[in-house]
Order: sequence, then structure tokens, then C-alpha cells
Amino acid sequence: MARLLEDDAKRLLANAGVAVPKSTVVTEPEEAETFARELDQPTILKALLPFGGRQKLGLVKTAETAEECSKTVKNLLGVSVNGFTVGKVLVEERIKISRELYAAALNDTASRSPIVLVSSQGGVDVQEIHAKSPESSAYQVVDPTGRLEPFRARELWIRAGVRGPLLVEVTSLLHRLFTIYSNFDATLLEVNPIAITPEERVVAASCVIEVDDDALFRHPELEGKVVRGLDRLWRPLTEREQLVVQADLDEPSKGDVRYAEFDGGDIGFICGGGGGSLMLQDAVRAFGGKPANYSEWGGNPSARKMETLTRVVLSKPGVKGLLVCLNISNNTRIDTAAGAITKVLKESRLDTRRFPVVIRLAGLSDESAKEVVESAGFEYHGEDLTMDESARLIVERMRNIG
Amino acid sequence: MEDCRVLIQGITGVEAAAVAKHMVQYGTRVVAGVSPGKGGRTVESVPVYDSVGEAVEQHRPNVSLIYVSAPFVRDACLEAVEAGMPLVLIVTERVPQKDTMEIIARAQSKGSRIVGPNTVGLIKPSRRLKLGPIGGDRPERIFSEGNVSIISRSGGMSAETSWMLKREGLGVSLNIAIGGDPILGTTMKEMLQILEHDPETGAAVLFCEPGGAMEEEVAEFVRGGEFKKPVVAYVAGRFTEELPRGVKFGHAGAMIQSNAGLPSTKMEALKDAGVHVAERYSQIPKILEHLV
Repeated sequence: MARLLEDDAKRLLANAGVAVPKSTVVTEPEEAETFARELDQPTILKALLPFGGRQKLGLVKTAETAEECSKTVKNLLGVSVNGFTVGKVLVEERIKISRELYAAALNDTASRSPIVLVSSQGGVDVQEIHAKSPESSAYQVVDPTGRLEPFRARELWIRAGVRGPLLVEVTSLLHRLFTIYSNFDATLLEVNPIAITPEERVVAASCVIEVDDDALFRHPELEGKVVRGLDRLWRPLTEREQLVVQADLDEPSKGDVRYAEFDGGDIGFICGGGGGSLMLQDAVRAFGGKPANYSEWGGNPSARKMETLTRVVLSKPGVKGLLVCLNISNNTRIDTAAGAITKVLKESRLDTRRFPVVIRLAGLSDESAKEVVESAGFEYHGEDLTMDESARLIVERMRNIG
Repeated sequence: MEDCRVLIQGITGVEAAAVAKHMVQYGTRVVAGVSPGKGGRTVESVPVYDSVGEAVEQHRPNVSLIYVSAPFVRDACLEAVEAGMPLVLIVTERVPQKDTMEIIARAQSKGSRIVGPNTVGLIKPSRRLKLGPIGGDRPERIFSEGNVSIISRSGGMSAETSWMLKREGLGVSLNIAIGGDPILGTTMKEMLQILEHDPETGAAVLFCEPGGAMEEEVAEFVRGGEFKKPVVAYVAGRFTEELPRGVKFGHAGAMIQSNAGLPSTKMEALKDAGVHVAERYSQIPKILEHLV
């Protein structure tokens, strides 16, 4: 799932008629100062980074004056968290808040439906709200073939304890939020808090939107607003990871290759299928080995994709051996993969006495895969070796080279 | 499962055509295909129609295999469901979640069962029934007949697990990959509900992954005595617990967001419910030997 930056998320809200704070995005302290001076109000400053929990990480600040705003932006720019560097700051008017509410819509895997969740106590972590005062929150499963009817939205707020003129306002807000969530294939849309001002204005003070990567094909307007491949990581993509993401995007209909690096490790890991890779990572570690990376491949990846993956895996510093292992293939031609992997291995002129390689490929087209691997001068394993045994074999061989 | 007459939607695609061939070779009755605009052709001697309605009229299929590309899956599934197809398997990957949710809801209202998306299908050796790419071109070398049912979130590992059993002289009554997506037409628990009443199934094996609450649902189901046959489970991906939260590995379904989805939590819940949990994947056959 891909998270939008907060300014992009709020733009979607504003376009749909939801009130958001006056704001600007700055890359220089001077821009922040100019904005704050014109605004002539206290400001709130948020580092634009693609992950949550920014408040706790000290990436959200407040400023009373334009000078303070400029100074704070200066301090935020260039700050590095989880390897991401702050390059942009969202500067907003600080809304006067008399009351905070919460609303979210998300795809619920258990009910296999959208769920709408509201609380009359916003501003803090929603799990805490629900645990501490369940009577102040309410949720509703929405029929995936229908929409959130306004009367349902109203009922929800009533259950959460909202009455009076505010009820009408927040019903309309919730209805709009659900429409945005639905129209943009969001997997999560959360507004926390919904700020109620002393003048009874309802403003989406903070907002998170995550969209479904698999639906981006029908949302060209989100092009460039989401970073692909980030959902597997806790830090920005490395150069090598970017190469694999790019190879995957270059030939979108020719199978999948995925790659993520670990700190350290010495076993290059070209293993396939989501489930098989997870199991093999556990197995290699259980035998005492240290994978240098995680990877997956499947769905008949092109030779080009597999060559890129192999090159990338072998080029990570500290890699001293290679495990190639796929579960018995149902529909991926393993001879294509075997050809690509052995081609790159040969080009890299590695001495397999010093650089152990274990290749276990069984299933569709394994007879020709065997020929490809052996004619390239490598040892081939198919059904003679279980996945566990191939994990043990690479760990043993790594131990033998010391 | 008694008399499956299979329709393949998107049969003219390269992979679909290859899979159709393998299915027919195995002995599965593929009665028709649909590819809009390509009606009148044949693929592996299977007649192709422009619409599901026409194929239904001519051949009365009762299972549809969806092989169209992701943007067209919703339409293809709704067409199959409207035509009264009782079982629809979605092989296609990367189907938008919103479409999946809508397809499942529409199928439920029409009494159809959806399997997938992102499934390699199912195989039932006793009936020579192979729905989807599962087992590739030579399923015989992976699957032998027996009384164990395998339910897997991973397509690749469903075949691998059958093969592991075969090496130890065990066979399968059914092997199903339920799909790698977070939102699925048929969950592990729903499969157990079906298998509880299947006389050919003596035990179940589950291949589990991080993320979601499917295994926790199974644990509750088994604990409540609603599935009385022995269950063996393996949970892959324990290493992911050492990584920062929110990191997604394996299938999209394998996402760690809260404690509920952690492999260790799943293993605990399953053990508590009386499920035989394999610490290592390769232990599955040995554990089963004592149970069946």
C-alpha cells in the first residue's frame, strides 16, 4: 500500500469540498516566514515524510510568530529519520480547537468489506480511544456493492455521542470522506483529528491516505505522488533496490521480481514465491546462516528481470555465496530463470570453490533447467533436495570456506 | 467436485492456453473458453465464446477459472456470477482490493463461491481435477492420492507441501491454494468448514504466513470443536518479527501491522487450540504420519 504525503492527501480532501487548514509547502525557511507573516496567525509545521507517527518522532512543531516559523522550518529541513531526509515542510495555520473528533474508512480483511469508524474523542491513537472509552466510538461495515448512505453516517455519529447542529456537519463530512476513500481506491483514509473550532467550523486538521498500489492504473492523477516499492521497507530504497523496482516496472506484464537488503549478511538469496521465500529465510537462519537480502520471483519473470536481480544480489558488498531455490514450480518456467542466473554468474567469473552456489530448481521445465545449469558448469539440484536441505547445504558450504 | 465442467475466461492468453492444455492432459473436463472478440476459435480443442452466457448455453459449465488481466477481473467475475456459476477461481494477481470486495459480495448474494484472487488453484487427484496452474505440466509427480487436505496461502508452497508428503508415502484428497491477497473469497476457516464434512479428508495441513487474522480464526474454530479432524500447521516468516513494524514481505496478505498478524502470535493461538504446529517446515510429514 502506498501512502500519500499529507499535502497531497489534503489536496484530495479540499478538492472534494472538505475544509482543511490554509497551508503551503516550503523547501526554504524564507518561504515559511513569508507565508506565516501573511497569515498573521500561529502555525503548525509538519515534515513531509511518507510514514506515520511523525508527532512522536518530533517531526511536527508549532510556531507562534513568523520568525519562529522560519527558524523551526530551518531546523526541520535536513533532519534524517529512518534514512529519509526532510526536504519539504507543510506549513499550516494552527486551527483553534474546541473539540476533536475522529473518522476513518478502511478495507477490512475479516469482513471483506469497507469499514467506517468514528469517535467523538479524536486527537490520540484510535486504538487507545477504543480501548479506553468504547462508548465514544462506533463502526459500521459498508456493503461493498453499495455506498455509505448519509443516514448510516448519521447513525454512526449518534452512536459515538455526537448531537446537535454538529451532527449534521460531521455527517456530511463523513459522507464526503467515504466518497474520496472509495473513488481513489484508498485502503485507508483517516482524519485525526477532525477539529471543531470555537466558531463550530469543522476542519480536517490531519489526514492519512493510503492507496491500493494495484489500482493505480486507474488513477493517473496520483502518478508521481506515491513511491512504489516502499511498502516492504522501513527506510528509503537503496540504489540496488531501485534497480530491481525499475526492472519490475519496465516490463509490467512479465512476472515479478522483488528485492530488499538487510544490514550485513553474506548469503545472496534468489528465492522465489512469497511463501517459499519466507520459509527459506527462516530455514537459512535456523541453520545459522545470514542472508544478505530477501527476494521473490515468480509469474514467469523475463530473462532480463532475472539477470537484473542476479546482478543486484551479487553486487551487494559482503555477499560470499548464493542460494537459488524455488518451490516446485507450478507455472514459472525455471529454465528461463536458470539461464539468466547462470549467465550472470559466469560473467562475474566467481570461483565456486571460494564462492559457494546452491541451485535447487524443480518443476515446470526442469529437464531443460538442469541442462542449462550443468552446461554452465554449476551443480544442479531438483527433486533430489528439499528446500530445507538446500538451505542447510548453502550454510554448510559457507562454513567450509570460513 | 463430483462432475466439474470447467470454463476458462481469458483462455486465449498465452499462460491460460498452456494451463488449459495441462488441465486437459490431467483429465479435467475443460468444456469452453471465453475471450470477448475471439468467439469461434478453439484453444487446445476447447471452443471459445464471446460471452459467458453463450458458453453456458452450449456447455453448462459449473466452474469458472478467471485468467483475464487485473483491470478486467471485476467484469469477468460478475459475468460468471450472474450466469449462475457456483464456483469461480481467480488466478489473476494484483486485482484491486475494491474490486475483490465487490466481487465477493456479489457472489455471496448469488450463492457463488469465489476462490482467490491470486491463487494457483486447486487439485483433487482422485477425480483427476486440476483447476488452475497448480502442479504445472506434470502434476502426477507432485500429487498422489490420499486423505490429507492441504490449504495454503502460498501457491508455490501448496505444491511443494504435497510433494513433501508424497516422498513420505502420503497423499492428498485436496490441495488448495486460497490465494496470496489480504482479501480472499475463501478463507482457511471456510475451507475447514467444507472439509469437516468431506469423507475423503482425514486430516488438514495449513501453510500459513504473517499478516491478517486467518490463522487466528482457524484457531478459534478448532478450539470450538467445529473441526474435529487433526490439523497440522506451519507458519512461515518468523524472521519478519525482527524487522521494523509495517514491513511487508511475501504476499500482500503477509503484512505485519499489529500483534494479531505476527507469526509467533499465530503459532501460539494455533497450539493453544490443539493444532499440531510444525516448528520447521520439513517436519510436516513426520507429524502427519502419527495422525493419519
